[in-house]
Amino acid sequence: MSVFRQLLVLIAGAMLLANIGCRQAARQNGLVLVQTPVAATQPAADMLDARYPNGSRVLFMDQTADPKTEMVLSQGLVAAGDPVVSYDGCAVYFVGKETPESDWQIYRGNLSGDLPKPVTSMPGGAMHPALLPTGSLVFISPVPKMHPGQPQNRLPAIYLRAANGSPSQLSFGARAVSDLTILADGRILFVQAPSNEAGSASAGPALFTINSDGTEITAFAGALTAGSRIEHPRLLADGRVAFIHAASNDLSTRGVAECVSLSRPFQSLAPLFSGELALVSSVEPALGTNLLICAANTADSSHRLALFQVEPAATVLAKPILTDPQWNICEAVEAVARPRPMGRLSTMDPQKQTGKILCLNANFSGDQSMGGQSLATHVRLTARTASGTTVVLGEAPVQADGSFLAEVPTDVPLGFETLDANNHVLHRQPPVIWLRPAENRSCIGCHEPPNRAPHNARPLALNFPITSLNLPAGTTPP
Amino acid sequence: MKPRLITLFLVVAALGAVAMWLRQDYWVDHMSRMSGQKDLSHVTCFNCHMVSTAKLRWAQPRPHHDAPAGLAVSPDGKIIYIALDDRDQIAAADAVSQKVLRRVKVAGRPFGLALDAAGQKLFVTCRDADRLAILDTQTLKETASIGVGMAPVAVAYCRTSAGERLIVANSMADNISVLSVSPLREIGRPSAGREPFDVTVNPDGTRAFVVNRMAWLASVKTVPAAEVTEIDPVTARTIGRDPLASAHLSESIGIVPSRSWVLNPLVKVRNLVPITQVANGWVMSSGFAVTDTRTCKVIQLPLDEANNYYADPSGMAVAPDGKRAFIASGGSDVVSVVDLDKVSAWLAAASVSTKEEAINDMSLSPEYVIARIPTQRNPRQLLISPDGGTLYVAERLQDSILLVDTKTLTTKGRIMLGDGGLNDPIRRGERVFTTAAYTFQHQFSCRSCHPDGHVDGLSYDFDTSGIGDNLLDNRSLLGVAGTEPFKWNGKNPSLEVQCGPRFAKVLMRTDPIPPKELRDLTTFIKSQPPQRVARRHDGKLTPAQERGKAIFFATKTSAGVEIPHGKRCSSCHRPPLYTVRLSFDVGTGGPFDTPHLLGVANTAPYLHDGRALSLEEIWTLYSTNDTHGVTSYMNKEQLNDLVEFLKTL
Repeated sequence: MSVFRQLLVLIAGAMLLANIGCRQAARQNGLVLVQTPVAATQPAADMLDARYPNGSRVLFMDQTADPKTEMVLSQGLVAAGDPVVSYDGCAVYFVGKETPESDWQIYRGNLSGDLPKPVTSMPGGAMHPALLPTGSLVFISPVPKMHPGQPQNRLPAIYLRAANGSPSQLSFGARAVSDLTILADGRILFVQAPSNEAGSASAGPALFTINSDGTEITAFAGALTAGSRIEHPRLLADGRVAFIHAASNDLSTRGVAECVSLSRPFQSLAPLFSGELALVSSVEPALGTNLLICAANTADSSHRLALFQVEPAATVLAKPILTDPQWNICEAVEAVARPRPMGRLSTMDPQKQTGKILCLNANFSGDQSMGGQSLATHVRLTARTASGTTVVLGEAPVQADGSFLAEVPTDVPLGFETLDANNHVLHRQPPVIWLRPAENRSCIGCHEPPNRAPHNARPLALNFPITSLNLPAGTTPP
Repeated sequence: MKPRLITLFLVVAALGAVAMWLRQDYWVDHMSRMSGQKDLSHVTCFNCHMVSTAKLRWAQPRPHHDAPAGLAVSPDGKIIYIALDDRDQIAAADAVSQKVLRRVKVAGRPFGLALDAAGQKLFVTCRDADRLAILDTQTLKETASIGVGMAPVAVAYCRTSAGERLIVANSMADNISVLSVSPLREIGRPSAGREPFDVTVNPDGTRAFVVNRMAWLASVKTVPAAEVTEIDPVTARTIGRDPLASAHLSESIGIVPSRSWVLNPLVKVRNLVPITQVANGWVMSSGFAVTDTRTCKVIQLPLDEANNYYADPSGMAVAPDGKRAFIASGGSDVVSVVDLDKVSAWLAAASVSTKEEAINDMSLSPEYVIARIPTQRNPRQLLISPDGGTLYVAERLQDSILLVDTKTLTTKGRIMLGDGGLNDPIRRGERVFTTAAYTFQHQFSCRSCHPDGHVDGLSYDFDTSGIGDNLLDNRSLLGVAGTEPFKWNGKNPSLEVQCGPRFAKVLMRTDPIPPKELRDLTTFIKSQPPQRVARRHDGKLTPAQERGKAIFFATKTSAGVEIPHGKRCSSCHRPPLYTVRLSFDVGTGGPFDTPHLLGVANTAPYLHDGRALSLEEIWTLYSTNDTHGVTSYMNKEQLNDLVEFLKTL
């Protein structure tokens, strides 16, 4: 082969590699916007219909171009929204639907103008995409229906899209979950709906975390006011988690931006803008430490949603940087590369069907209603089944220091009832938590105060054989 | 000549191979008999033969760096004195120009510094020479020297009713040298806790406070506690011991005269709880202790936040007006600023039980931590200028001193001592070893359990085989090169495996350390020599040690009865590493990896789960029926002799 031909091959290879790479990575001021039509009126069948009516679209806007260029990423879809940009800044995942009647699914678009490709095909739909540090997609499925009368076979749960494309469930609670994001430490932060069950300490929605394999479900912040809702939590560069807090469950009402601090999430709930209670649709971190806010533009008589960019210490939104008379701009994300969160190796063993739970002191609680009661001598563990009923797994002895240790079935919602020597229930915790296969899980007490480290003491329960508890024969896990 | 040698070598090797093949049974029997192993798949000739320490990484020369250790500042605030222990040097720097003015040689790894009241004498503890040197600050020449206890790391100067005194923390002798300055002599050497590491004295010179890095030796299932030891500088007597329950690794102590407080940073350890998670400080967290010197009551307060940790609190400095304390977190490259007025207000308002629980409340620190000042790598010692205006931060693995304006809490500059040493893989590895960046929420570093590569003296309960049945003694990393396999069950064939994905999964709860950093980390660990041991200055053994040596290598009991090969000390603990790197059952619950014995004197507790608090207890309590070597024939004196010999290894 001549030198010239070798050179040609090299150039062709280089061009091919360049094409495979992210052509848009160099764009620094690109924005991915969600626009919803101002005049949308059709009835909403589900939660996403209400937020993204037909005609809603996801588009990329290059602010560096002159004039500004726009590219619709959701071409061919009747509605789209809820975008999340990949860590390399090259791809955009968003929810969309192909026809007014079809389920919402998650699509992957790129900044090259190709048609979006579906990446989920979940019965009942999928929503709220987020990306793990590995780049794997996590999402919620199914999409909740708007009216209680509409059939809903499954509670919305968190799923991971595995490398082969198949979904695997990560959350197994007895409450609906929504609105995912990934924290810098790699945990999945999500919103958990309140429980209506007796004994539940959760009055309103709350933020919870799980690890990327579904282990270690933990309360992160909340619970907020009963009847309210939380949407769109996002970690900001200054260590706050911002979210939209709406006073009503009615999805047509907008909320205000609030935040909690990572340093003390349970004690730091505050408005994001102390000087203005703007109705906000989304908050996203932007390059540097700025924030991208989509909120009602009070300077506009119709209060259309516009895009604002503010510094983190801002108390008011000031003037929008982008408005459109035809559209509400309800979400905006920067299309730039960003650091990946910290990863995590899974401790789960899918071959196993049980996990172990160690409670250090079942008599320790931050729940004041437990004060003055007698001490627990045993604990009854319950589980929620596929039919929605609660079954008793069995009982485990509580040692003199309040500790107990049990081996329990995995991937089912687990509840706890502490009992005194007369079998009176002292405290009941409805099925909220779950264990993943081979997970070893510990807790300090029953509804212990949040963010509490354990005492350094050897639990007495470790001196006794572990109590093995199983689902009753014939029970179908959810 | 060379080809002939190669040919000769090949011929000998071939003959040897043929001989081995012809006498396979003999060699199998030999290996089985000498190693005590039924399964020979992991046994090679090199377990017992051709082992040399000379080629190990820790025996090789290594680069030295300008890592700052102790700091001192002249009374007028103009000159900063910096101990460069790795260089055997003391540096004097101009506080205004931020330039190094002079360096002088001080032999013996100078580490801790203090000045007399006039700023004319610089007192230097020499960690590897077991001495205190006095330098004239005008000439920086050594004018006097005196022997103190083993491995002195800190010194404090004070004036007392009986004259000038020096209080020296002897870290490896577990005692404190109290010296008079004129004449320079040792008045007394009271015992401290375990590994005394820093000293401070109250303004009137009536009480010295010594913080100890390691917890007292105690049963593995009891709550560990380090202590603050109180000394009378005049009489050199111990006048108090304030326990720091479930806390250790305190490396600094400061006094707040206006509040009658003594403050020391600490690691709150939770080693008795199974490690099922690390979130919410389940394994350890960082904090500081407030000791009321009038009541001796100790309150521990957290330094961490609910979702972000500040690992390895090391140096501490208190502003002269007592308003603020500064704590360096060596694992997180941060100096935390603590508002002591806010601490005082919180303490005044909190109930007794709230104060007792405070250290476990991971969301408390925003009540009093008002700023976190970022630093470069591994901030350790801190110092405040006499006027309180400048905080000096020794960035140990950056070879620099950071200057911080204490009013604005902004950086004023940096005294550059060296280049950071990033061309040295050992230095790069030490950076990996000391950073908490690879653990979940930056909770801890390798150093958090292995201070200076050694041990923290505790056992931890890993949950790899279930919950609650896996208490394992922490093993020293000093001198581990060439002693693979690792882990008590001997299943990790290399440090790369030991420190790689396995640790990421069971302890760090993150992604594994990236390959390049892992290589640097293991290079650093392999470069760590065994810990120095106390021996006679001429290197010879004492008569008792000689007798102990004879027992260690004995093939017969005192009565002349043959000791089976597998029951002799030296069979499993074979020199020069004092391990054959195989697992044996010594009656403690299964076969466990044989630890090397280099520096064994300072690695208590012993056995796989740390059940033996001393070397003696290995045989007096835990070797019934001669399960751990034939030792039942020994009388008390013989056992003492054996232990005396082991302490020389």
